[in-house]
Amino acid sequence: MNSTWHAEVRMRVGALQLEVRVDGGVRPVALVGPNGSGKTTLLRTIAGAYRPSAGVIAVGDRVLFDSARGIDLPPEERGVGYVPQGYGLFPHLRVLDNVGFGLAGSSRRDNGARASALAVLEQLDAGHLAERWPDTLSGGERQRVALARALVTEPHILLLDEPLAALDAAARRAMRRRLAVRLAESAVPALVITHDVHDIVALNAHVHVMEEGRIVQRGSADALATHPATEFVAEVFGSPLATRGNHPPNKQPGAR
Amino acid sequence: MNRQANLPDALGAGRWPSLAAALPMLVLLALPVVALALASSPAELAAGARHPLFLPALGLTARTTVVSLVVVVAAGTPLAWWLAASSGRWARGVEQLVDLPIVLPPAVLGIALLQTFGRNGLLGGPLEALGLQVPFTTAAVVLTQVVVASPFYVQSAAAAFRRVDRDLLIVARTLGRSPAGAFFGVAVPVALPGLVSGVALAWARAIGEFGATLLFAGNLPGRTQTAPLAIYTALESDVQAAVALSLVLAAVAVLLLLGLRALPGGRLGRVVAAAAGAGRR
Repeated sequence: MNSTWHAEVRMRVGALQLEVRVDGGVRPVALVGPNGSGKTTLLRTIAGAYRPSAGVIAVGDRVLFDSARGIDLPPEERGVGYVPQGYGLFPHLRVLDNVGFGLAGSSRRDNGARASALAVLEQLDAGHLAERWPDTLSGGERQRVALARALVTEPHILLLDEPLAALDAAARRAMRRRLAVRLAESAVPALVITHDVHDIVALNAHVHVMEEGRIVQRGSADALATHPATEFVAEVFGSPLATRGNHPPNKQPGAR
Repeated sequence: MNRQANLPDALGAGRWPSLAAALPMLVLLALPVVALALASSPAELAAGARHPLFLPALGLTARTTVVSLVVVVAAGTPLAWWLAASSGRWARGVEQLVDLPIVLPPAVLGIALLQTFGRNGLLGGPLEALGLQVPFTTAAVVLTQVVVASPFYVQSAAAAFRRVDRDLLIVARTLGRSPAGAFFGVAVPVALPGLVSGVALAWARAIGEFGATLLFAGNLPGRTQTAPLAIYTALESDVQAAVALSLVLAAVAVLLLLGLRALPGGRLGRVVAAAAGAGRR
């Protein structure tokens, strides 16, 4: 796999010692792990909310963080699109202003910014939501608005924290497909936290399994199902669902 | 406002006896307000309002409390933000310091302020060298109000800031906002209902300030005689003026209370954001 981004991070957050390397290319990377294993912390660290004690974070040819060289770009200069768990829509702004938030400052009054916010909403079939308030949206609608808001600034990487977890089963099936298509179209690398093998298969994601602040295994869903390295991996991927074959054929079995 | 539904019957069995037990206290809360409202005829009230103490005292209260509120909000908002973001021993210590004026008796506070700003006080020497006299001036009135009112604002604002989801701020930063941009663009509007109720509580406390002001600022008509002090003075000569002043202050307090109750919850930030954005559309 040609990796276009990587994050190598060592840090302590509370009781958790985080020591991981994750990387990926245009193919989405799924971050899987039990609660408290440090997944969200890693995403926020890549976004620039936490400063690692050591490590390197690079996306494309841009170095976002490098402890050895003293580089630490603030979040606003990192070019990352962050969609937190629960989607983090600004409750005091209408949908269009949420999406246009990243275009504000220099150009909020200009109609071009509003037009491009609306265009991204429409690409996600959410143009009709533009004047709604976030608290009137369904889970699936919120997810699309949050994704639109992250995409509108044309980030170099998308960080999605359980983008499908808040949805009921039916919405989840529909949104999972949509998200997969959208990620493939946009060609933006994505790091996606999820607990669901269906998501991983639909996104055709490369998997990193994280436990207690470390990456314990990586590979495709099939490879993990076949050769689980830990009990957790066996539990998540060992179910027959993972090998039912409703997903594209796996290109490269076996852990990397 | 979110209200819990009535308890299931089995759990609510003790409700009426509980209310009955509280009845004397409720009567005690209600009766003085009723008595105050019934104390005067409109004609007597009008006469009281013409008393020479009346307007200057109300005017001084209005001016000094507005200045105090500006100071409290300007200094208290950054402090509340810091308190909300910090969890260390220092933050806990500062929090208790902020709460101190709530538990200190006003008279003690007045003495303490005199010991600080008075001629023989801690800062007396330097202030005198600068030609500044603080005690028994309007500045002393404002200083006292700031001290007694700030805890109410800071605590309310800190609680509101704590409820702002950290992820909203991270998102705002990744969307290109500076720390200040995320603060004013997200944290303040989202926390606004809490900030406004803090302002209302602080204002009520500043308007009612009496004891510390009397000791530290005195009771000089036109300079340090705020409405509560005027009530105290008027009571000796003209009860009707005292009652009229009291009714005005009670009305302001009730309005503040009703205003707090009617706060449009999470929608307040929207109203402000919409107003701010209206010109830009």
